[in-house]
Amino acid sequence: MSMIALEVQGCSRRFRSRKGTVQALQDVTFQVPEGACCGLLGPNGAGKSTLIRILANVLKPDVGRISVLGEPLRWGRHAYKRQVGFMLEDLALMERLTGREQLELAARLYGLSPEQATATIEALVAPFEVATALDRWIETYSHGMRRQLAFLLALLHRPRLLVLDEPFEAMDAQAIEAAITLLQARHREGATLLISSHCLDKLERLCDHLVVLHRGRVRFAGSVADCRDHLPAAETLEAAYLRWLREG
Amino acid sequence: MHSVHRLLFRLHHRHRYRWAAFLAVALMVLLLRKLGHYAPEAHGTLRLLYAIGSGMMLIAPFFEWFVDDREWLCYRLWGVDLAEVLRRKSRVLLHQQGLLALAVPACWTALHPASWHVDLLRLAALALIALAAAPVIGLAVYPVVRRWLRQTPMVTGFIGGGAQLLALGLALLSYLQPLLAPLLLVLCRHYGRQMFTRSARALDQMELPVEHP
Repeated sequence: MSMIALEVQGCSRRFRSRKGTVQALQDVTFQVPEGACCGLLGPNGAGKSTLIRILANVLKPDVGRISVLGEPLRWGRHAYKRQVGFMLEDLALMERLTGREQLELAARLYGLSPEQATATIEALVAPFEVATALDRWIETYSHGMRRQLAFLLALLHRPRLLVLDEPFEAMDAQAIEAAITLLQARHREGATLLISSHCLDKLERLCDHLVVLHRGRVRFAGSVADCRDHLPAAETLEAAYLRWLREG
Repeated sequence: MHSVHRLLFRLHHRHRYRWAAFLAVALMVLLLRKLGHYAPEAHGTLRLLYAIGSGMMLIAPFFEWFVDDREWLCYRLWGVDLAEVLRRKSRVLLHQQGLLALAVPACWTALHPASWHVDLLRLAALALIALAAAPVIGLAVYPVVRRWLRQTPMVTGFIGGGAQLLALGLALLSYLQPLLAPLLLVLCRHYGRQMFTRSARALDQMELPVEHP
């Protein structure tokens, strides 16, 4: 029986503001087996980014239990992130460093030796356009380059679990291909992946599991094969997804 | 490949415009010298003004530990021990501000050769205590300030400003009575050790500000 890399049970989160209350997540429950590549799919405002922020322990759920790589997630504890790579919607970049310096700082704080860090950085950045701008300050980067850098930062320490929020957004076609190739390689090496997106075509290429969120609730959670089995014979995944959204 | 210390130094060095601070110290000393020339009886007051101005310049950066949300988000996402980061950052800021602290007595004594022996000791005591007290008090108020930062910037300003005045008060105490400096140093060192862990724990417990849907 395969281990569970990520387990979310009854997770809810509500945001209150002067304008009113938004129920961003409601009773979200799903599991991602170890070694799986799971797509987190949903339209804008479905709760994907909120869920990923909760997994990253930067946002507290109102209720619910989460376990990551077999350990329960505790608020205020961050050591588990040494084995997990995160890319959030809010990019974690230091504008006053160069791209190379930011990668070096992350690598050194992850505990990589100078030699390991240099070799890892060189190998990771090579297929990406950001490699040509590594010695420029991050504040001069385009949005696409920032996202490439944030993506590479999540992969730097070879995490066992990768949680990526819209990794392909604003990337050009070449960078998307390089990112997909890199993710497929990490998946083959045994890493577990949770990738959020609202683009089914890219997730279909990568993922063997799917979690579909809509209005803060889980609409489907399971393997892609299961999902296909439950669909009418002629219906594609994309058509089924659009139908789910229409049905609400 | 650069060390973590060097990378953090670059981060703050680029942010802090250190050369502007050096220039401000030099301009301030020239201005006070000119004023002293026209009003020799006010020389003691001008020296005190110089001490207050220099003290503020040495203290201010320690009250901006993680005001940048993105920098804070980086450390949280990388899962690094925040207490260790705070320790490293305090050493980096001491290194950076230490260079400015050397300029404070040097500028004054170079332009006031007649009273250098009095000023050197006093300004050295001021610089030492400003650098020792600022990280401790800065770290003590930082989690509270952080908590209020998004809700009530005015309250944050009061807390931060009050803490800076406290650090400046301690520094001025050592300026007026340099023999107090060793005692204040021991106190700062004693409380500084606890402060790194306590502040890191408080910061680890906070939600990061995010855009609500």
